Amino acid sequence: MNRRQKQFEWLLGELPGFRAAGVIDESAEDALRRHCQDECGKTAASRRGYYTLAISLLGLVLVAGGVVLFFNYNWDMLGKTARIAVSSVPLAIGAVLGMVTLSTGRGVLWREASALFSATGTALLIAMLSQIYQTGGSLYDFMTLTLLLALPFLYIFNSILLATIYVFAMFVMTGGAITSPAAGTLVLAGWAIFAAWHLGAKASPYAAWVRYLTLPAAVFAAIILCEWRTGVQLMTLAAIMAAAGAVAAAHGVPAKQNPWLPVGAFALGVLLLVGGCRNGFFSADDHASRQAIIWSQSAFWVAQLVYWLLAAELVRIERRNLAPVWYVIGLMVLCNYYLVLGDDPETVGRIGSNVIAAVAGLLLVINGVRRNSSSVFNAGLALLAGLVVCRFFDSDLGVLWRSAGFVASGLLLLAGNLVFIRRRNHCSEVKNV
Amino acid sequence: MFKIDRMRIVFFCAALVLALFYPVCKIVSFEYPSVPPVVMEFKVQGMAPHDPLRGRYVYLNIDQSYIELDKRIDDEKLHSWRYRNGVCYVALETDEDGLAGAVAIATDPARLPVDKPFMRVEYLWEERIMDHDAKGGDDAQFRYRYHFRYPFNRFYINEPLAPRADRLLAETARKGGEVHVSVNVYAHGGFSVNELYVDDRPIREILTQVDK
Repeated sequence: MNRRQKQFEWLLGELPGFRAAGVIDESAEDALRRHCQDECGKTAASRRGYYTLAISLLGLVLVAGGVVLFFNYNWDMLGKTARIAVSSVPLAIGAVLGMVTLSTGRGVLWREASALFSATGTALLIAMLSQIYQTGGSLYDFMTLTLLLALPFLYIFNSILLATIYVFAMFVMTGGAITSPAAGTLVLAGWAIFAAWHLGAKASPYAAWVRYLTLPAAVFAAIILCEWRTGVQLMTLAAIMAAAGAVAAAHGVPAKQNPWLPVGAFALGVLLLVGGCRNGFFSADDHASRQAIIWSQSAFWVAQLVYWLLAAELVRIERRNLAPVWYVIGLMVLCNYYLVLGDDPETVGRIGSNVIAAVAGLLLVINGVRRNSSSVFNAGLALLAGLVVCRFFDSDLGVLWRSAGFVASGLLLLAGNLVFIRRRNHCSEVKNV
Repeated sequence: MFKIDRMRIVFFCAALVLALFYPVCKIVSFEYPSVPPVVMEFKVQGMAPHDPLRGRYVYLNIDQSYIELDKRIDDEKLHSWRYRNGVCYVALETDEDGLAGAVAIATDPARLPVDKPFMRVEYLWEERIMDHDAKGGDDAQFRYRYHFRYPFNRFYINEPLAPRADRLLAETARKGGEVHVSVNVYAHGGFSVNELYVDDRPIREILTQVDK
């Protein structure tokens, strides 16, 4: 039972008490009772809908699996033509389901089943043909073809289940996509347009889930497109994610539905700390293939454009609040131009990462205090403390000095939080007065 | 019916045609090839593992999956370890024993001898071997060995026959018998596996005879 339903049920139980105490009259009690009963019914129905969808899909998968195993056992009894015909059955079912769904305007379950049967039917037919003709083939080629052919079904049926499977199936082609990233990028772009479509739509029921799905998609993008000067590219990717999360938060997306901001900010913080000490983080990879370098560079310029569009939107919305933080991160993204094109980027990258981590940390602390936001304040403190700890790890200082540094960082965190909480309590008291 | 759903039906039909295009092309290219395929035999070792989707198969380990040359091939890709698992092509030739093997390798099929059938394979690595017997005393010459993986590493058989195939192949290997695979090599570099022979007899025939 979810929280909303519990609240309405509690209110239903309290209504006779309110009526007896004279808080509400009879007509108000009736109106409230009807409203609460309707809401409880709606929540239960929606939950039943999801359960039905999940159980039905599980049933379909089990039936399909059983049929596949049955034919698998008796495969040699069939001729080549019969085998091809049997292999085409799932796609034929998908075709029939799809036509019925589209021509009669069926609901979510039918749409999802049609998309799933059409896409998996196509994949199964291709796989079975390689078995029937004994032609073998690589998993990378198979997945590339299957995913590209699944894309039209994803869009036509607007299937979130197929979109979810698609994102995780992309990882199967990782090995091949690193050496030849063109097909990997195409497959990723196909999904990215679907995601952008849902995130751009005002009332998409899948927007929150699509935001979560973007995280594995971003990991895949990092694997196939960050082959050259990996540190620089990963920083830009994390900055984009954090900025996109901040834009979503500024537009009122609740924190639970917006994983981009915490994940992006955390990744960016970690990358800044690592970039400040690790040798080779900003250097070019001499072993990267020419094709991988071209794709990495192209992705880098596209990422720059995306970041600056997001940053412009953020500055427009948050002119007075967090804008300086985005300026600083923007400065880092801008510095990446030098790091990509420069001859000896290591020193600049190391110093730059330390300076930007320190400035961004301080700005977050100041903004947290100004806005009375403990999450922003603590994010800044964590970045500063992390910076101190990391620099102690890679410096030539003795153990005594290092221990003093750790103690100082710990005290900074504790004292900072204490002062912040006192200040916030004081502010709320003043407001109440 | 809404206009948008009519459009969706049109797009759905187009998507189905697109989904069927590759399988139909594949069937046509194997059933009605413009140039008849060349049948070649390769010496293999086999064992029978399991594929959860497509069932049992005999895993084929091809005996000689490399080509040894006196000179280094002038191709940057083949020198880089980054090209491991990349696509390359080998020209094939049958020797006096009737067994096929690779005689040339290239990343572009146009660089291969035109009169020989070729096949798309997975490139593995380049190995430099010091030839101590070469003339010139201390100036030892090098030979270059290019390792690759043939694409036909599976021979599918029926579920009940697979465990017996596994035992038969193990027994054949112990007794020093020979296992060959017959492959159709097509003009476009594709292939299809015809049959697996254990001591010159088709494996299916041996297994079904044991049944009777």
